Amino acid sequence: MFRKLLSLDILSRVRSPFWQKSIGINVVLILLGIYLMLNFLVLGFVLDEVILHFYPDADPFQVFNRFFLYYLVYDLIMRFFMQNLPVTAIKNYLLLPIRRSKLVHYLLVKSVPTFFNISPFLFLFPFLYTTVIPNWGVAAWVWIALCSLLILINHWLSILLKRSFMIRPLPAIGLVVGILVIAYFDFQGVLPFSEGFGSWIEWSAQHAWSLAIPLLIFIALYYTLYRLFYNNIYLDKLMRGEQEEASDMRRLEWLGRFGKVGRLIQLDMQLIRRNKRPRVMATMSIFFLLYPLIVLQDGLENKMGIAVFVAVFTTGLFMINYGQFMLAWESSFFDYLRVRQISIKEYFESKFYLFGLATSIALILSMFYAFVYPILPLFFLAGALFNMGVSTFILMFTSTYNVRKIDLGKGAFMNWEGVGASQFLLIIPIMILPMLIYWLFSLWGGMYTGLAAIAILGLIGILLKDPILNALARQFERRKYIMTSSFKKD
Amino acid sequence: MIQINNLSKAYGGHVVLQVPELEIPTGQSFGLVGNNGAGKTTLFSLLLDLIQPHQGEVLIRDIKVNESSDWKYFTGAFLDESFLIGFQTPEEYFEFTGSLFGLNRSDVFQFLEQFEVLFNGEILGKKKYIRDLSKGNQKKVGIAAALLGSPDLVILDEPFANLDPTSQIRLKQLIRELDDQQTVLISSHDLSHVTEVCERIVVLEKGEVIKDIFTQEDTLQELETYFSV
Repeated sequence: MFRKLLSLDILSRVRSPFWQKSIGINVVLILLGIYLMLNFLVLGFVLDEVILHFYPDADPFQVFNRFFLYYLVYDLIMRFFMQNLPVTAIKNYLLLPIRRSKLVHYLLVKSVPTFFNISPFLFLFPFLYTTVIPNWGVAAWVWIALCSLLILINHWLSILLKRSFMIRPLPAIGLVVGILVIAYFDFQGVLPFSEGFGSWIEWSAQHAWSLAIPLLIFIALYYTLYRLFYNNIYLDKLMRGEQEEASDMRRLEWLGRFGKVGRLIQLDMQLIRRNKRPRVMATMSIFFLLYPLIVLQDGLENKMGIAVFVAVFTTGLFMINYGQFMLAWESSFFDYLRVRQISIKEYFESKFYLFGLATSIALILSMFYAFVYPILPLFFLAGALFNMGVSTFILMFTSTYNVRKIDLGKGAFMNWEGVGASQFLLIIPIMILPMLIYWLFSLWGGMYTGLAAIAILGLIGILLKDPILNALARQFERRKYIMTSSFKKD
Repeated sequence: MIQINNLSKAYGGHVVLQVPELEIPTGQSFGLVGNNGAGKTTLFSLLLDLIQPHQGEVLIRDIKVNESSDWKYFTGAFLDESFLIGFQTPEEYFEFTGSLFGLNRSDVFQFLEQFEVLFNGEILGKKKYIRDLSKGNQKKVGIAAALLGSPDLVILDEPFANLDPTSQIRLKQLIRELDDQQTVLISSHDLSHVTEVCERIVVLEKGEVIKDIFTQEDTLQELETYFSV
């Protein structure tokens, strides 16, 4: 039965339309995966030297064990956000004559072979080979068994935490805060937590019987999860947490005063606020306001071209992030847009103002960089104008080539839905064009001329808004049937 | 109201709809019946300019639907879920749709009073998004929004499917109570519902008009005989 269920699962993956249709993206993803794995492998082989580089007098094995605690905590947090137990996958089998206990075991065991459980071994095994076996002999094998158990404990723990977080968020938040506090004291050296953990691993590796402790924890966690799912394997309980009470967004009513365009902006606000993926994208844009700090931490000298890039990127991040999927966001109600009295020009116009608003907010917030680099706000101003008057229209044009629908109900992490060639292509003009213009004009007349050229180009775009929007509407007319029919496909 | 000339739609060389001529006068209640795959939804999608005809044209009030958007200002339609905005509450959806007709909040809710029986207390004031409603309730929202603003042309695809008996009866009343000047197009698998509300019934089979009849007393029987093979 196990094997039959597994073969059905594999079939469902191979036959999923996403896998079959978007080969290009899958190739990119696979290459990315291989690259990451190679990184881990190489890291594993040189890890002892890396450790010796930072801690010349220490034993690499000891240092590794100490830092393994940090790895586990980091792993747990990453799992918490990115790993999902596919409970709905067994939905189809509930009615079939399969024992309930078997289904739960299947669900749990199937969740084990994931990226998070495989990737650590890519550096653990090389490290075992280069460093642990030569020095520790038999104890090395106990050590690797212990590490495997700890990783699997993390696996079950993350599922359990995620489950309880869904039902009662407060204790889970308390736990995260607790971990952070302990980590802080550990870094300060007040509580030598990681050191204790390191010496415990070392001691345990020499006493094979002590493996019983993590093994017991492992079994206890598995059993807890088993009971939990065994008792909750009902349709309504499995789906729990998917419905939420509607949020009241009456505060945005005033937008209605700006007519249809205002109404459409209000609709965008609802879309962003009430759907996970756009919501996460919008939140990320705020964090990326700190991006200049990272890139420009060594100062601005001889980095004017980079500063132009940073300015366009920072002020336009929301626009690029959200705007690259324009029209695809609306794919679930595209027929509504096509049939109701909303012209595509009004649609694009609402986006023009929405992006203008977002860019202005980013511009105002980034003015604080004047305290660090007095010249930088000028770059931001030029970048913002370029975004409002040029990037917006580039995004609108490429959006008419969006043909993949987006399921708004899905999360943001590693979600490649809606990604097509247009997403990769639009990066080039938006990112390279302003740098190129700046470079050409600054060669001729210095920095201020370069900035002015970017800003003036943006201003021209803003002034020519209406004719450009009319041209975009004609472009949409050419593409509308293709988009309407492809948004209906899975 | 609607004039169809030499209309045909083909997918990959396979003709799914072929209507040489069809005229629907203003104020008529028009029923479209046919088995699965007969081309009912295709015809409605062509009327609403959602898909491109292979040949021919659709004129609404003498204007080609694919050349001008004027028809959108007096048309309400509900074909499937892609006419619904899932992340809005029904209230927000009605308000938004109403605002496109220039109706304000109170106009919209005054209009919705006639839907009280149909909604059965499960639609308004529930603090639920449309995506979380049941299929039947979603359909009610879509139908009400299609009728909102009393548009001159109403197009409903399978409005009776997924509805409970009380709602079906109420919906039939609502359709009959529509203004004389409002043209209604309905498709259905249920022969008795269509014969009850429509003055004229067109039978589609494999994309072609097989029958075009004005409803009389024996129409239901005629249709049943036709469909029982």
